[in-house]
Amino acid sequence: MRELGEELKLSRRRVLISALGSTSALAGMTRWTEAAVKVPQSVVHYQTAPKDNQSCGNCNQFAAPNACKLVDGDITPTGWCRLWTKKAA
Amino acid sequence: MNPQRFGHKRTPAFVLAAFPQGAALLVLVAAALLAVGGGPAQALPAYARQTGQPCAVCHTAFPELTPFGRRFKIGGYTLGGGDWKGPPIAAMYITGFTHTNAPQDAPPAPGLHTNDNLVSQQISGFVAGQLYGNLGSFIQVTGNPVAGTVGLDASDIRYADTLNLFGKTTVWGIDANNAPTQEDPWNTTPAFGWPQVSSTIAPAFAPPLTHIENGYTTTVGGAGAYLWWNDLIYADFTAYKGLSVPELQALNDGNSTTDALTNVAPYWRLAVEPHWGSHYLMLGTFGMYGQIAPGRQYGIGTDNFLDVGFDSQYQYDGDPCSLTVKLTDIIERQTLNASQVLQNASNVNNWLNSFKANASFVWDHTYSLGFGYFNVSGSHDCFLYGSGANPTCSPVNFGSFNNSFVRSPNGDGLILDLAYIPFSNGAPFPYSKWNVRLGLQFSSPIICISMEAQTISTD
Repeated sequence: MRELGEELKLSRRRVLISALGSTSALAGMTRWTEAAVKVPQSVVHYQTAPKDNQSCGNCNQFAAPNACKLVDGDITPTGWCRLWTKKAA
Repeated sequence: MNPQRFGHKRTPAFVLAAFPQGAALLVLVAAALLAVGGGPAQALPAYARQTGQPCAVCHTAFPELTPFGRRFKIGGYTLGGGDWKGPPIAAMYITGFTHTNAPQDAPPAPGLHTNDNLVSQQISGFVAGQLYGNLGSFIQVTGNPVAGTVGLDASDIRYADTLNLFGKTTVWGIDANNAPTQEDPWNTTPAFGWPQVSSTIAPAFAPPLTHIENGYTTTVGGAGAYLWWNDLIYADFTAYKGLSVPELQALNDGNSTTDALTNVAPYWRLAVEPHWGSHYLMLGTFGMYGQIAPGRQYGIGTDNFLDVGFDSQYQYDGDPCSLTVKLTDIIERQTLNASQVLQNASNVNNWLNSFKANASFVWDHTYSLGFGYFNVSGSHDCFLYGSGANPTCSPVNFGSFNNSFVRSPNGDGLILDLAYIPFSNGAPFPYSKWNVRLGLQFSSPIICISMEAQTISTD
């Protein structure tokens, strides 16, 4: 039977190799596609009116004409929620 | 024994019962999250890049979850919205300074002092986020520089989708993980319970934790399914099996003497979380039944543990402040057939109760003030909890815990946790790859009394 230290040394090497391999494999299979599960409107305090100069229409998450990448349901361009982020120029 | 890891922690105050005099623990912990790759980074950087949201959206104060964060997890870690197109990887480094009122009997590790130690206590790598479509992960490999170990930490992979059930939107998912309650979205269950970051070099004491709190983590594998109905009711059922010795060795999570889970152990979870505006209330229960062969010694029966937990959480998810109050009570029935044969337990039947209450107030997701109380109580057991004072009850398996004279698991204490998380709402520089948490933690037992009413430690 191997000593504990020997087992750990071998396992550590094996783990590092496994981790590198699995990370590469997982990273390689990554495909950024739209997720099916979005969050409900109530959780992000969605409202149909804008807040100051912030509205869904000028938010980076808005998907015209009436959807959001993060929030479920119909989204009006004049709406607003807590996830608002400025639309990239 | 596994090192202290983010994602499954030990309550640090338990260790203080080992002190012969009044003891308190002061821990200064800094955790740095490094996003491997470019782009703005916040929160667990891989998730932040994926969603395009700052960490404040998912965390009141990292790593405690907001309502949005819980739904991100239930949804399979796949919600997008960010511009990042690279792999979902990240890294974390935690360093800590630990001071105790009384020095330890010996340095906690080679090269350290008996008190006032500054150490690198954890380095972790993550594959965290959407892997493909509805498949997502929280995979953590952790190294402990003090112990010189590296292994697979508590991790899970899940697939989630939606369906219509009884006319209501329902999220369903399947999940595989290696630590019971790792799959749970609330911070009232053990895997991500409060406080999430603690010292790894505080003096050791056989922790009288229930098995579901620390008995299975990273030595089992489980697969299960869950439902989240109408954004209100959550149900989960998972079956766990013990990992084999080659599997444990490959993951560096154990060896041929690691306790073995011998049955297909059921884990269950039911919770309801109604909310009114920014106010969220959760009431739930969870539990697990496992049969353990201690030290993988077979033919002498098993130690059986039935854990039943009840938990509740109130959370005010306001802007800019939030308040989270959590209660958890776990009752454990132990049937210690094997341990009695091995003379590691005096009784066949024992019980253990673990109660925790804590509250965290967070301002602007940046300044966190947390306060917690814990209480552990249970049946007295001479062999199980050791007794250096009684020669007929020699602590056969407590050789490293010479300060422990307790014969019962009873103890309670307080924890104060302060944290400053400067980049929760976004880093001040556009391409920062870092997120940082600076924490200060103070733990102190109120009282810890042995069966003989011997005061072990007081404030």
